[in-house]
Amino acid sequence: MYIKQQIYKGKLTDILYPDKGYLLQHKETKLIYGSVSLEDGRKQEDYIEIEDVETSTID
Amino acid sequence: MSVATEISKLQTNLMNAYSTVEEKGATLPANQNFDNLATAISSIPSGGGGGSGTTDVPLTRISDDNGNEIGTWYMNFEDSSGNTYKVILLDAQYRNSSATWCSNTSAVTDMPLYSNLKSSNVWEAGETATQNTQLILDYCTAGGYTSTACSHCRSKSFTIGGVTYYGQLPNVLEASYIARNYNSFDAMDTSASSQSSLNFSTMRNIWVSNQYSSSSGWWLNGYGNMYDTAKMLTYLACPVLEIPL
Repeated sequence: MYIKQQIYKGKLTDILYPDKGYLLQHKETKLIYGSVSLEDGRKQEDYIEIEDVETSTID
Repeated sequence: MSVATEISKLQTNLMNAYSTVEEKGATLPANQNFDNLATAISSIPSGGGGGSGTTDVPLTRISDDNGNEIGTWYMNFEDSSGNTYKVILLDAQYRNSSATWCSNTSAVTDMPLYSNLKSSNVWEAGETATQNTQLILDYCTAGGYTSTACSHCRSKSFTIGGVTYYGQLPNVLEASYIARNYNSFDAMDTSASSQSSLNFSTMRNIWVSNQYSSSSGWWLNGYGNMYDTAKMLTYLACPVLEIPL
């Protein structure tokens, strides 16, 4: 994973991205993200990289 | 301790029990005695699992402070933090039949990817429509993209009880409850019949503000089935108001 600084919500913000082919998973909630802004108490060490696996449509 | 004191204590405990199950959304019997307590508990809507929750409400027409009927209150939504919102579906005239979820195909920052939502775990999506809509708009603003679905919803605002509320793109639970009541909404909305491309008789493919993957968002079809599809496709945007309770 890596951090890129971008303008987000009107200000320069650290955005955490996974490496190509991976997604970010919050260690505690297990929720999965494509990118996360490191604000509001969010920290890089709270996330791990997991493989981005295509899933089928469920209805 | 006297018998009278014991009876009084039991009565207090019983009333407390009924009060608690009512807070959980139960339907209370006219006679709130021990015999009816089990039935009251059984009427608590299912959900839970640490995520969000919903409560059925009688479909009720809502007017704004100008006295204009604007939509139908159809459910209460409890988010993953335990906050409850009264959810109002705005009438057909406030919808957009050719709205895109987002013009770009990368994941919205800070928004979970729900790639496996189904009836058994839909409760895990505990974000409000307001949160989702704001995240999509923030992401679009930062990247120079557009979300006609979210922009359209946010362009609708109404003042109720002196407070102005903005339209939001419904989350998956709110959209599911819309699908449950398609026909009732059209019947209660007196303007629906004149909105041929926006009422539920002709247009039932609605966007959901939850994200499936980087490139896809969730949507519901006319039977209430959930699918994922490319964010750039066009479906119906049905704004809802979320009023904190």
